[in-house]
Amino acid sequence: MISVLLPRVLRAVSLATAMLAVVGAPAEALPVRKTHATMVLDAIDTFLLPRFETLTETTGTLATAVEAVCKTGDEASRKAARAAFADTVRAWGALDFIRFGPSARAHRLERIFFWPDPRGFTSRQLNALLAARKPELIAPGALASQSVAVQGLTPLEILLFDEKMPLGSGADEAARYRCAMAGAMAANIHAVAGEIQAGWIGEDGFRIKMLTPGSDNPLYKDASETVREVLKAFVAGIELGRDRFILPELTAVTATPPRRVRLAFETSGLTGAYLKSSLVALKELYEAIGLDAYVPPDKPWMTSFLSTSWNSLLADVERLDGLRADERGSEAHLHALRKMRFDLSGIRQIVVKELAPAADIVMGFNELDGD
Amino acid sequence: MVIDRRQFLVGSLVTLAAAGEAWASSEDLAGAAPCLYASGARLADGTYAVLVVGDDGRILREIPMSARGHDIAVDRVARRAVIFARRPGLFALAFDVAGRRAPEVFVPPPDRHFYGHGVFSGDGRLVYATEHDVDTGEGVIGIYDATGSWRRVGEFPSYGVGPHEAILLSDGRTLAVANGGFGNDPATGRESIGVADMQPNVAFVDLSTGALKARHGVPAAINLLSLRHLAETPSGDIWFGAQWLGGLEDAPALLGRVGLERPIAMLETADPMGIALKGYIGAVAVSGDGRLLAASAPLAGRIVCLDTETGRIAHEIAIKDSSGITVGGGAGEFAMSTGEGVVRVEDRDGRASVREFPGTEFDNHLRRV
Repeated sequence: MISVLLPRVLRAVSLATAMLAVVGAPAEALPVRKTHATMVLDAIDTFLLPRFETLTETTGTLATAVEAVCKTGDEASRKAARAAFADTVRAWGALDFIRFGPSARAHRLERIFFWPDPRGFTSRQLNALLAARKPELIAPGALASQSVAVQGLTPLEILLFDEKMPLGSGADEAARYRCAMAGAMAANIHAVAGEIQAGWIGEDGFRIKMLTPGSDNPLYKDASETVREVLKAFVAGIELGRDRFILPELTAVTATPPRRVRLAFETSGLTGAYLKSSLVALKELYEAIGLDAYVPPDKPWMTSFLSTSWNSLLADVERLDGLRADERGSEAHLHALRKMRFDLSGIRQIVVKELAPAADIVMGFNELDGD
Repeated sequence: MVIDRRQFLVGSLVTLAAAGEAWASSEDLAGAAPCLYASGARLADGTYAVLVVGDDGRILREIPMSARGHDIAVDRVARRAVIFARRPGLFALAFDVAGRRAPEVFVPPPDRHFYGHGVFSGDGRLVYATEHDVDTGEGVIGIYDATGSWRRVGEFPSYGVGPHEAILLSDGRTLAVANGGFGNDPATGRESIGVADMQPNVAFVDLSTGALKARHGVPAAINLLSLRHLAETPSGDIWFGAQWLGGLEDAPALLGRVGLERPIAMLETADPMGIALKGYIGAVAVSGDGRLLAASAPLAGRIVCLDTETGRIAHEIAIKDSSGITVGGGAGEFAMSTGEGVVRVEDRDGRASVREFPGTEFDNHLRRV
């Protein structure tokens, strides 16, 4: 399908690349400098679409697993549902910085994951919902018209990881309603994931809209605009990692006296897993775009700096949950947080100020982060 | 929180003491005094500052800041100004345009943060700042003593969530506030809170009592349209520029008019501008003669100029990453600044003068001072 839909210019680029391979690469092979259009094509086909597919699969498993909890009520089914929840959190962590296209419509981002929630809006709304116990709200599809705070992973985490009232364990009406509500949430998450995936594919899908910019395309005039959209999502992901996890924790533990700060997915113990999934995905998106090829010849150190920063980030994120649990505020914890902040800032700085301009991608100061 | 703010404050002062303050007197200049403009900026070395520049291309003042600034409130009588840190902002910096006094920093209370905008009272004795109540999530207008102490002397509600720009209307007694509709939490930086349930509005507040005089919202179908920037025409129309927080395909019109007694009327044009302007207006300004409204669309690299009477597009200016826009010296003239270090002054006939400040990235707002 791709070759059929591939714009002519992309086919020309692919052909040129293939010819280069046949003729023979120079002795010291340089990384291929992709065109804007190829960057976008690769970002969509090798990064985005496979992950949206994974998301739909994991949310489908989650919906089935929560339903099983309500049927059997045993510990094994709860364990399976929690594992499916963890897989979904990981799948979403790899995608929630994609804030354009189908994800940006119909409140889908918040319907899957409502965060930040500094005033505990989810808990309050969820409690009200459970107290009212309206049967019509657990009917298929009914949750979609309720507040976004009670539709997605945030309220489902509360129900699924409640140790005092294990989901599916009670026989009374309130317990059954809680479980049915959890099932409705999981089904809703799956439905939204399906909407996002469906929005990307097909002749009217967002993939084609991004691959066919032009004067007749109301969204994108040329590939410089579409590649900017992709790169802005990358930068948004770097900033989300910093603003949702590193800075709040760093600010809280260095306050006098130290404070506690609520981080995403703490109840399920998936804070680190979620952040790790985002960072792994960002690295893969970076590679899919192929910006390494645009390291300026006079600044070869950037290649190793970037590589070291990515590796350091992925090593530090592995330790973060343990450090927070066992030695919160210790030198080692602070060091990991500060190092991650440094690495995220370094990657962002090099991409925005060096590699993007070298690839002729304009990331304007106001355009990138206006107000 | 207190510690964070103190660090900001100390950071600013240390920077000032270490780097000093670069400025030149406009009196040094030969001939007629230039038009002066002020803007926050990121400098070539990555640090932040507020700059006062002349339309002759000279930088007259450069005051370092410890973080990024946003908009500037101007007291034209006393020739001084206040730049507010952008949301969630934890400091404001007051400075004398001519450099006769040292800059002063003031901060919001621990349970408030700035949204980046503010305005002087007509007599210059007070400054009103748009703020966020961190505990409740509601918008407030903080009142600061501008006669010397910069002490916070009171507050009143903004009558909405996420107040962004507030302007003093020409009656001198009414504050028009663009309540953007979503909040921020200082803990999570600039991430928007409560977007799905946004209820943006323009609120008109009686400054003598803090009471609400009128409030006009957008239709529920376009509740993701964050009303953010305002400008008043001499005839009393309030124009606003908005930012669409939904999918680009769904972007509605971004400009509209509202009045104390007139509900919001969106500007519907023959060619819908929402998508073309990438769902984002960075700033709005009315020309000195009141006949033109300029709206910057940095994501689209355009500035749109409208006839304020008819609402028709008068002309457009193609300019990369331009957000700052303000009234220029001439009757139909606008000055605009860009993230690429350009200040361009252009009249209604397209005659433009362009000044470049290499390495400087001008922030969202430009003000004539």
